[in-house]
Amino acid sequence: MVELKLKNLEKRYAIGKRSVEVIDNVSFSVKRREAIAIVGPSGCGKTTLIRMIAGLENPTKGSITHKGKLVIKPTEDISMIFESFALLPWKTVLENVELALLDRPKDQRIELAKEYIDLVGLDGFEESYPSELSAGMKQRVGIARAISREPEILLMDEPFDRLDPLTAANLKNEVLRLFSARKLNPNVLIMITHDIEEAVYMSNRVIVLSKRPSKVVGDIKIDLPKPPDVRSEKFLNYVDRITALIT
Amino acid sequence: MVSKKFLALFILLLIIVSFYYMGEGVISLAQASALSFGRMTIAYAIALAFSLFFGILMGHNEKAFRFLLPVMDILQSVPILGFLPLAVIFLMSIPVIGSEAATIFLIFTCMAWSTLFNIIEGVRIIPHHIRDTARLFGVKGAKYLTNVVFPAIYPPLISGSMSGWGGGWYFLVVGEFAVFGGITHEVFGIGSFIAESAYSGNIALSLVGIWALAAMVLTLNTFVWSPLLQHSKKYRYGAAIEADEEEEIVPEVVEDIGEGFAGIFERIFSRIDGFISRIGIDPDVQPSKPNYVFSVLLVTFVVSCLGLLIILYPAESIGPWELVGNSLSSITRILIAYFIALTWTVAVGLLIERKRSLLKYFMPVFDIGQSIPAVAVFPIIVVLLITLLSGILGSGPAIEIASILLLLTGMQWYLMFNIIRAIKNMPRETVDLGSLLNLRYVHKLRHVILPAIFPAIIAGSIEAIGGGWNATIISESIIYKGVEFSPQEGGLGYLLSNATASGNAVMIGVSVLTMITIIILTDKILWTRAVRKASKYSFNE
Repeated sequence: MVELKLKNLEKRYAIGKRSVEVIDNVSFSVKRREAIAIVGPSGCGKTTLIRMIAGLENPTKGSITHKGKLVIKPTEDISMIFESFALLPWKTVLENVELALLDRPKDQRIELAKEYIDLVGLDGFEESYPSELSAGMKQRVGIARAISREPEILLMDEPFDRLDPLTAANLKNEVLRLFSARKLNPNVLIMITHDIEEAVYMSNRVIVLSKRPSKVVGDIKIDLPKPPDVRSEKFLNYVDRITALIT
Repeated sequence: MVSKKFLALFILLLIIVSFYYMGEGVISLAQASALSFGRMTIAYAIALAFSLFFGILMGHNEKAFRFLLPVMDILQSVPILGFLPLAVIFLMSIPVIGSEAATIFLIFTCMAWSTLFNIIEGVRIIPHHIRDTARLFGVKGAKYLTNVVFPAIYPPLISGSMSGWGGGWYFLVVGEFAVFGGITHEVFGIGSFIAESAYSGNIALSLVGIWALAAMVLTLNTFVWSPLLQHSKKYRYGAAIEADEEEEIVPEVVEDIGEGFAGIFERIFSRIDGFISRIGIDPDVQPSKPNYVFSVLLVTFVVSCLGLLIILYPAESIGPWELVGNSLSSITRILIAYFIALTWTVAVGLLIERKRSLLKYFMPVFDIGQSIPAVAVFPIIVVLLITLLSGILGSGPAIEIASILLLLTGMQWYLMFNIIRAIKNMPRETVDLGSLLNLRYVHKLRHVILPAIFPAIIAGSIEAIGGGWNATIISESIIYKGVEFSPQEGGLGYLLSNATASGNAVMIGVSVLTMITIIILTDKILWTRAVRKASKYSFNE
């Protein structure tokens, strides 16, 4: 069942008087329970692509549809995790998560926020400020905030880029666990990364973009158990294949 | 920054208009501008030498820091115009160069503090690992000074110089033309040109003068400060340049001049290497920490001096209650002007946040608005308000309104620029977050935007209130066509200018010391806490 459909997507920016083409005719569809990783060389327009899926930007040409409905602005159904965490420094962990739930009554909101803070393993830190947390903990707050709205699609923009390798490895497994354990939402995961191993590790399908203007140059199904064994020949084969496509 | 095309048009129009109005008088306008620019440059050179010496010394030498910091802190808190009587009475008596010396001294007092304090801060934030590296490779004394200290203070020095020049331009009009009772202090320049034209009733001519002044400020900003600021960013420790920060091409000349200077300095300083090490400029010196005991002592000293003056010279000074009353009048006016400024600047800030494209249209207006030193429009505001409003409201309220409006012109830009900068620098992901979560506008305002600009509001408020005190002295004693207009409720600025006019040294002391006391108390009680609170709202962790 097709959840999300990108059709003939094109994006141009005006820089001064020049018009620069960032994305050139990108099309693909995403099915329920798919975890997609989008990889590509830096500056290829990955972030633009994910912001368009989030409804933060609109394509110059083409369309993005979620369950047949056009995505032109952010909706409840699509949420996102940011590379820089995007936590508000003046709010506590609890308040940062509550921000996503402001349309609910106060007591329900707090209860729900606490539930998700627990879920990402941060219970006891509700009253801490972001400046008091490690990078890994900050991203956990980001995750709690994003999934507290029970979005159908969860977008992740280089979510592990600012974490140290050990913390990142931990958090990756936890995201995989969250995704596989929750039969309901989010039921689609879309991640942007420039790390090919991370893409193979996290996803069951990797979409490879070319350098700017971006086109889809590869769409590879990853058939590995989650989490995969990174030393297995199969894993390394996938990595090699994708590396060859990018370079 | 305004574009070069715009600037060229701005100057071209100025030339046409001024020819139309003045004919051959244009030459005197050009001379006036050149003379003023010369004074500014001399004052800046002195301020630069002063703040480099004391800034680097205080940044490294614990003793110097401990004792000089409170002194500098108090001197800085003297409203710039508080030095005016001093300059007029003492420096003017020097034969031949008296007037020039007075003007340059006054401009110097506007410029020196921002560079001094920025340099001290620049030394203090040299990161540990850089100091350690220097120690490891035996870089010390003169070598440490030229290779580590100078590059480290370059960015704060440039931004400090920019506000210093801003302060100087602001003050130019009064620095070149001031009347106190019988004493007229006047030197020929663009500032006195503007003031004299207005006070003699020739508004059009005064406007041409302001235009020329604005053109000079914009030219200097475009061709000197803007490239230097851009270039200095490369030398910043810490925060990397934001990706979407406007990129400007820095002329290679800047680099070449910089290298030339570095070479000269290195040769000079290597001769006094021993001295440099002796005063503590070495990488293993810990950055100095402020010592509050001496500050408290000094403040107590200021307050006691004030008390003593009132008790010892009751005839020349005024009663304590009268002093409180005058202080309250000034404070009230400053607060009214502050709230007007805060309201409109926050409103404009929010408008720009909602529709960023508006910035394109606002920016040139702000740039020109800011480049016109507030004091330069004082004469015109005075003339217009007093002649227009007196008929409708009577002269009392008209003067009161003029007085508050004058304060406003000296306060609002600080808030405006801080707020706009904060809106522009809000991280994109935070802005995205607001849209992504579909927050209602009231929620977005309360939870995201207002907290995000809170530190800017505090920083802007500190500068604005300081600017307000600076402006009280002119705004509470308005001279038009030889007649002095003062608000009925009086004020500290009114007391000070009256005392200067009558040569009453006791009252000069009393009013300046009262201002210093109020400013220091506000700073220590209110601003220090506000800044601490605001730091929690900052995006750089």
